[in-house]
Amino acid sequence: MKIERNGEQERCLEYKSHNCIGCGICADMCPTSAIKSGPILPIDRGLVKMDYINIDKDKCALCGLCASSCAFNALDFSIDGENIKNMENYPKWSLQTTFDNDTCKYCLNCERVCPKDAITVARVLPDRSKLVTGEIDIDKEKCIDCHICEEMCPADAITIKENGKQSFDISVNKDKCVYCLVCKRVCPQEAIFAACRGCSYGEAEISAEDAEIEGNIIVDEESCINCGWCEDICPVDAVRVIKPFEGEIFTLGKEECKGDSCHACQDVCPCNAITLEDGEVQIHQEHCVLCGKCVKVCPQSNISLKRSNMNLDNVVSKSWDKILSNMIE
Amino acid sequence: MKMKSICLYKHIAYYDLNEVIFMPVIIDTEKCGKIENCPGEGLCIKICEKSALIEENGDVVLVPENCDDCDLCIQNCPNQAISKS
Repeated sequence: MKIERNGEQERCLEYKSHNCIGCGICADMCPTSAIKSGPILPIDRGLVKMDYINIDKDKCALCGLCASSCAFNALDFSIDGENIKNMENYPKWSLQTTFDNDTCKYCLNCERVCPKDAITVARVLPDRSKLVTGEIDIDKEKCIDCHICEEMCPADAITIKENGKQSFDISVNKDKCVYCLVCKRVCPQEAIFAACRGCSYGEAEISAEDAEIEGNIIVDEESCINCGWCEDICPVDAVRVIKPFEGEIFTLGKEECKGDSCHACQDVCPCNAITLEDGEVQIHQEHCVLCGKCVKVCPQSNISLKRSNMNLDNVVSKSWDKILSNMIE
Repeated sequence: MKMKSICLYKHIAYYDLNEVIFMPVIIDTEKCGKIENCPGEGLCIKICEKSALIEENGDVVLVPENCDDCDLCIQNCPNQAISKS
């Protein structure tokens, strides 16, 4: 969805529905009430197909406040072709999800838990042939094409190719071979010579450099919502996350909460921060971005959210500051 | 006093006596209209995981004994046709 108007300035508001988490903060902030939130729970359960928000083109004043209040990259506002996020006089979110490549062990845990699939871990493992050192050689003169070694090889490193009925070709894939010597032991013809430097000849000469794992973590900043899952799961503390809001969220423990039959809060949470344990709602604040979606969908008003601070800086306009500070208590 | 409790008992005949506090929802048939006219195409039926709301001849019908009182239907009805008694 795009709203454009060309007056003295060219102003353009673009809604990127693929990034929108449906929190409705923009709708709360809009000074002209041009933004309406859709039915959050039916959308998240896939019962209706529509965008989370709808912007009324006639009401929208193209002020850009919604784009500044969105901490999840779902709204872009540009003046004369320049995004206001890069402009001097407009507010900026100081959000962050960064990885320290020196500490990172490239275990892929963060990639697995990321609720937005925003993390890609590209890792380059060391050259295997440098780490497994051994020798193997098959005497093709002695070999009788019995296929015993091929069947026994635990690494599927031996292949025998029949070239017609008369001849055959036996070969060892040294990238797969682990020099376990099984083939040597089973060969009825003693046609295989194999030796493992790791055991037969004492310690293998493997240098630490050869065993190094290299890699890179790629975070898709557009879809990352800085929820903190990666920081929490990282076993070596290599991730730093700065979330959009600070504060607290908790359930009020009302008896009316029908956990298992409702689970609306769990379904709408964009960060997978809500679980149901024995029918009781548990909100895991370490994974929560305090977006307030669950508060809006809970039919029993059983969830309380208190934002104490937001990481939005450079709010120059006083009227904007007044509206934006409604987000915090 | 005794009469009153008998009346109450009839009224809540669907329930176990221990669950007297259970109050099912009320569907305002005028506001609701037929499912074919519903902007959510019978959203309340789809959203209820307890099968307490079912379709019968194009109308939404409440099955009180299935209702778990979660209020999701009340909150999500596009016609605001469902309320608490």
